[in-house]
Amino acid sequence: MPSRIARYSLGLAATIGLVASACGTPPQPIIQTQVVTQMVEGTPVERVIEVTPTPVPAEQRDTVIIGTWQQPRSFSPYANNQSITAEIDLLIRPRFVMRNDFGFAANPDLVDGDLPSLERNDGSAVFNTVDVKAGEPIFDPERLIVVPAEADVAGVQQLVVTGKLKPGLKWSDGEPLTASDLVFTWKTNCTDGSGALDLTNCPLDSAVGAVGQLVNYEALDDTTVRAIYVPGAVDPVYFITVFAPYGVIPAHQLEGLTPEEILNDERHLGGENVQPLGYGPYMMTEWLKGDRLTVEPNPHWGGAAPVTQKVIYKFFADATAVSAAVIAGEIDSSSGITGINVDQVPFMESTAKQGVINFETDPNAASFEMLYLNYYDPQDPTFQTPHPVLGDYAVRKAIALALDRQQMVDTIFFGGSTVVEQPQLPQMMSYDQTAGALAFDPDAATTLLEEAGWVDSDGDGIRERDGVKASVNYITTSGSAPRQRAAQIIQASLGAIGIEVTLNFQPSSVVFSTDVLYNRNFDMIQFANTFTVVDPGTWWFGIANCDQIPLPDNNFSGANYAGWCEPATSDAVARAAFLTLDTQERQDLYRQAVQQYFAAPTGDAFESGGFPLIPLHLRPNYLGTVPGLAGATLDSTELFTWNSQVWSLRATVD
Amino acid sequence: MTNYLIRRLGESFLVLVLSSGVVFAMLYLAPGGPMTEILEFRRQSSRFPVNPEDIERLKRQFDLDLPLWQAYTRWAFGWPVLDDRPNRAGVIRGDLGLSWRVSQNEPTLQVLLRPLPNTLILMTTSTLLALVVAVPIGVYSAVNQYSRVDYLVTAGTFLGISMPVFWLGSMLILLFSFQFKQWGLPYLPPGSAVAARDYVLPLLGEIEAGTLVDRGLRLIMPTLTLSLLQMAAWSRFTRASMLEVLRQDYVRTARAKGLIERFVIARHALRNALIPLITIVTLALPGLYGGAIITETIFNYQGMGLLFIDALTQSDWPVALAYLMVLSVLTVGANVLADVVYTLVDPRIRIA
Repeated sequence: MPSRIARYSLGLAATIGLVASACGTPPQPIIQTQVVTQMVEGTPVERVIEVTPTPVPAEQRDTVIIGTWQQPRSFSPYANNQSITAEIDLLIRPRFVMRNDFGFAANPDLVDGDLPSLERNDGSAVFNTVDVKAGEPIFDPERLIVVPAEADVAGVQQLVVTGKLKPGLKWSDGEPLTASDLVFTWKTNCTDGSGALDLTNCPLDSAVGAVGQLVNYEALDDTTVRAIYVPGAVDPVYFITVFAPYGVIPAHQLEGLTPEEILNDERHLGGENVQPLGYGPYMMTEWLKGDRLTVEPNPHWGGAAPVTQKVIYKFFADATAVSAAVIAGEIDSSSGITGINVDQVPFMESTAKQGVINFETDPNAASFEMLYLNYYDPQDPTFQTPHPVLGDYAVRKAIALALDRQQMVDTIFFGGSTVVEQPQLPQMMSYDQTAGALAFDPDAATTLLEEAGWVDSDGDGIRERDGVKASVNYITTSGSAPRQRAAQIIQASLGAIGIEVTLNFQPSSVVFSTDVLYNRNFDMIQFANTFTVVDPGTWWFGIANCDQIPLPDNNFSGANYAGWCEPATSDAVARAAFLTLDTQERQDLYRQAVQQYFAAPTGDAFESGGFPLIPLHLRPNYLGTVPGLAGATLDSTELFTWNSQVWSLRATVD
Repeated sequence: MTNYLIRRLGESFLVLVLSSGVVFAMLYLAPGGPMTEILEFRRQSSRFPVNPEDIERLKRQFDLDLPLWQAYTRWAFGWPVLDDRPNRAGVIRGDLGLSWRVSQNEPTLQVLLRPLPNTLILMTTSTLLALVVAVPIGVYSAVNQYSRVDYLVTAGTFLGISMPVFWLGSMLILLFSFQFKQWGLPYLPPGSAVAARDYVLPLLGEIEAGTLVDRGLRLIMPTLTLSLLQMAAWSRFTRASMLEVLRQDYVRTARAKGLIERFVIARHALRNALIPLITIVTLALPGLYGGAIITETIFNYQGMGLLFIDALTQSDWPVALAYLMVLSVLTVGANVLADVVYTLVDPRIRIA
């Protein structure tokens, strides 16, 4: 022990005693552009994206370190939906269909040719006409679910999509990766006990909770997969579905095991002793849980060889420690999704101005915060009584007018975000600027409330009507500084127009529980949605379809938490989401819903009036890098490691 | 002594059962847990309804569907054995369960053992450093009571005691990592027990990751942070204890016999003054295992404290429970040890 103390003391003395010269000037990343073809709303579109070529081998360092405060729990491609796992997966198991810049494109290293397309009429995606026998699964256009057909039905449209893998793909152990691996993954996923989180593409009755969108998924040969949809169903993202969107597991390694055994197998989950196989530019070579995870070039990768010879994911206690490590040069990069927190942004920006780091903000990330307003009285267990305050369209509209959302952007994100004008991403096909936009106008809000009979008769600053005080509660997740600041602004903004707001912060497990969110046990509730697919189908169907209101009848499922129900709108979003792939028709139907979002209720049907939720602001993404790192950049719809194989790090004198 | 030890061990067992029940109940009843992930995923995916069967399956897997007492007895004693789920031997037979999240499906004991060396190094270093500095300061302060040095030490120790660890740690990082780097001085790495790759420091040149120099550099700031707090508290304690002893008759007698002052202090006063400190230090022993949660978090030092925080934030209750249980055992054991050691060093104390 004394010798150890002596060594540490020596280290301390040596450090304190030394003086050195300043760091060198930080080099700038080299950016080039490249034209790629992407699928946008089912249509191929040419786009220019930024890529970085391999620079300066002379000074190049062989290891890039990425910092994160998230710890991957496992690398099961279908039983884990952590952002950090997805971020690391892009290095070892890249997507077959890339999702950059609100579009889709075939990954040229994994997919042969273009993505399947109905428009091309080349047979890659077709509607066949089939007859369905009684008892066989069919998509019920009325109930919008897959059910066994009650009787024989003739002449039903069936979508069949064929995908082509690039020949010669290999796993990181050198074994061939074939269409059979994709099918094996699908079959394992769709068996009880697999732990799969998403069972949309599983045949009816294949597993508890299977939605039944596909009736079969098969390998036609080593490089060809075919997805056969249930008759009557359509899928706006069929070109993703056909390529195992949740990653592939190796049949040659795991075949013969039960799904439960696979779910507990270290070769599947990843661990300290065994790393999961992959098929990307890198392969996992080390995972010291709680400390770091290392990937190195996959010798069997068919694409361009990675520039950097080792990428290390370094795990930190929290976002502050990650930011400190970037600034100190301990790590080379970290993003706002898995690393840097908005609280560190001012410090990171000021450090960037001094040239110590590079700091990038993407104010257009595909995610926005929203405030749901409950149409129904949460005290009523039958879910029939209108909410005494928020059941009034005038109050909901007044709240929308009174919220100073620009102040949220300015104070929470220091201006580095964007107010959302409609309850959807501006990039969605349903976006329609002519349908209306939310504006900050507290005077109009006050007028609206007074016209509706909400007045402050007792002078306590809170309006009343018929003895009911304009007092509501607000709930959101605890531990989120941006949401807590947003809550304060909401409370102040609404207080200014005479609506009292009581704040309630709870853990996310409470906020998103059946008891609170699905039982609609709230007046106002704030959370965010992140859109990895910009097709508006599931989004609009969720918020505007009458059957999506969580009720005892549907086991409190569905995403229409406000209780908004306007029958024509409900039908329109259902048709657009589930019954047609015609782009123009879908756009028209969605825009009908957008218009209804702003509209007053029809007659006495209070639940038909708009403003079920108020979009607040986009959630920006951040990227902090050391000056020597070239190639790392943010993408609005993809995690920033998507092009890590072209990253390069030039040594700087610390 | 034997009877005493048997009685204390029996009492300790009861204390452990009681504390494990309280700890288990607190985690069991706390919001959060392994259901969070699936609920959040289902919320984001409006097309897929929340599936009650999935929730039930998960609850069964984690024993969350059982009444609290039954979940506890299964965890602690492996009883009752149920057919519809995996069964375990229970903590009492050394089965601390499998990690849920931190290191999925790995035996919890292995998960606990991994960061233990880092914590032992950090805590032992900081404890020894604190002792080596605190005792002489306390003695000097007591011997020179009301001198300028005493006032300075008193002010310094109050500053040390009242300084929040998270603030001190952050300030050290700001100064020694950020400012030193910007000033072109040799700076200290802001965190981690060991570097992920080799790095270059001005004048020191290339530091190889994992070497003693690398580990030593990374140990400096967390050790300082922890030591300052302990130094302040222990030097105050030593000073008070010394002052009390210096007023005793036997010290006066020693001086009257003409012994030199240094001998009086070292031989007669200090040895007696340090007896109460033994209790303090013995009771600090569990901390060598438990680590320093805040310090390890600030410096991202991969130790037991950081593991505990990870386990809590990821709702990995088996790991959190195991950490707390081992800490409980060590705390109870340290109490017994303190009693026994006290009798050995102070013949005036007898236990029966």
